[in-house]
Amino acid sequence: MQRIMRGHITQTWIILLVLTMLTMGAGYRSSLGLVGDAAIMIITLIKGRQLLVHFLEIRRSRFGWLFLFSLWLVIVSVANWGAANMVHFLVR
Amino acid sequence: MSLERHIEASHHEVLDPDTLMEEPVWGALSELPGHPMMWVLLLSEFAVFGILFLIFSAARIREPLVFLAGQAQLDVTLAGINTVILITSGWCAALAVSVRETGNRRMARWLLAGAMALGCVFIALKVLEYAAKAALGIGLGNADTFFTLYFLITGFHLMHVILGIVILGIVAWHDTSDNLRTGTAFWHVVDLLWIVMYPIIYLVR
Repeated sequence: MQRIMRGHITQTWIILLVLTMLTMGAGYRSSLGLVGDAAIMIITLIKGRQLLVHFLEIRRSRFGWLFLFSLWLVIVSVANWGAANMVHFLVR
Repeated sequence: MSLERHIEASHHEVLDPDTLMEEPVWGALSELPGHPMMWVLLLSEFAVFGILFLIFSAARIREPLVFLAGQAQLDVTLAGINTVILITSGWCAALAVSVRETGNRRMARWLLAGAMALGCVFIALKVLEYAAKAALGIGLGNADTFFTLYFLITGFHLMHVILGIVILGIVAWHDTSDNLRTGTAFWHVVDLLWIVMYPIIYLVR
């Protein structure tokens, strides 16, 4: 048990917690701008990828599942970032 | 071999259940963790939530001020705490699979119980969040575009959390390694959907 607690699963959990804390503070600001929003979505991509690889154990395979799920993350993140920043420019 | 014996042997080979079980009938899905049938469901979840997130983004472009006003009324702290809770729950579920593979069924069950308990805390905080919105006079009856999508997406996800707790309970009871992988795969996808939903709905403005 101790070996597992020290292993990659717990390391992933700590990374996910730290990244979540980093993004939580951003929610209190009215707008982060292009770069700030991009940073939030990049952190989300990293979190999603960590979860896929270390919790779900999706490995690189000939059918490219890890690539497909990562692509899904990128599409929804970029779409939201683009939509939110269009708002940012319109309001200004 | 005579023709009759050859036909008999062929029939035997085709109808042998062990032979049927070994056939890789699931193709690409067999490369994913857990039972492939679970992944048929999970892939449809990726499709549905993906479309919902894209609809949310498209609606944000159409009504930017409504979305800004709506997001200003959301409880970022509560949603952040819920993110920490689901991540920790996913950690328990992933540990349960690892521990089960070492043969420690008892510890695996405790870890699954921990994951389920944290899932219940998530539900309780979500109910508190909805109650706070109701106290502000925001409900499904009078919701604008932002809050309609907010209730639709987070409510649909909440239903998955409830179903996930039930699935974790079932695999804790029928606790083969493969069942644990199947049940926790559902839980991790529910976790992943929230990880994506949290910045989209609550953070990025």
